[in-house]
Amino acid sequence: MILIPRKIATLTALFIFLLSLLGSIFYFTNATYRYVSNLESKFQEVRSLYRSIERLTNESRILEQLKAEFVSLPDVFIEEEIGSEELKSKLEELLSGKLIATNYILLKSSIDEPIAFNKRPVKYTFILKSVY
Amino acid sequence: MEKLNLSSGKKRVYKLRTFLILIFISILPAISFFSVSYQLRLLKISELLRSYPEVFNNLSSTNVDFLESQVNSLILSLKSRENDIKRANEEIKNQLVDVYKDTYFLRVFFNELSKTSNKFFLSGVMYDGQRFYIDYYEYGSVSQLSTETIYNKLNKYYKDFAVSLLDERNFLGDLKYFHYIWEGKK
Repeated sequence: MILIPRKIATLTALFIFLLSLLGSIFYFTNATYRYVSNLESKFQEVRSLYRSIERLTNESRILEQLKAEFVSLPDVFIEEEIGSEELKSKLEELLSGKLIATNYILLKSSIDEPIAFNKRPVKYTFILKSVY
Repeated sequence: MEKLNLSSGKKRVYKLRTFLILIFISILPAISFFSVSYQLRLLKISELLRSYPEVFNNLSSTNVDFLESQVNSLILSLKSRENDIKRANEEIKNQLVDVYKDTYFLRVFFNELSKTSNKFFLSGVMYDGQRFYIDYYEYGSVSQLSTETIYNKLNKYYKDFAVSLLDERNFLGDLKYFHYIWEGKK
């Protein structure tokens, strides 16, 4: 029969009790508390990414619409000689509307020097190439 | 006086079986604490999954052991998707700004003209897709166009932008003309 001195047995049991309790507290701290906190922050990150993607997708839809506006415009080539009032209204019409994708604009008056307004009629050569 | 020895003289001992029972009892609190921790962990995870349906809907397996790795890969794929959309949006924005810059100088020009009571004579406008210039005369006793405002508006979008007053002369009586040129690069 194996006999263990009571003092040694009690001390050993106490030591094992403390050790196992520390181990379980360590497990709780790391595997439960920290793990769940870490997981929650990752879940929050997923949510914020989803929201960001949703916002960017909406923004993308608006941008695509804006892009479609000038992409759908037919290529324009205007070359004409017009008076100053006509030119003014034409430019107002062109510039107040949608975006114009152009790579060439030429506006040239028939006279170069400063003029006394309303005394001499001015003609303008107007060229606009609108391409995309 | 004579000392009395009342002890029986035997050493106090435990049998092995008693010792093992003692050990088992000493680890019982830890086992129960461990068990509660594990159950608490499962409970918290299921609460989280209920609160975050966007995560739950993207899990291929509900095995708790693989949960973290699945969430990590979900984050990576969402980040990559977010970057793709950002890049695409940025590209369209740049295109829009580029197109806007094609006529922005003219918009500013006519907008500034509409704010003054002076008369103007537009001599020429030229834009070749990269460079632009506007040549015009302003008539009045003083020039009402603020070159500083124009500069601030256009210098943000065009390189080497300059507003130059080429000439200033008396025209009729105290009426003057101011010959300006705006030029810049896209």
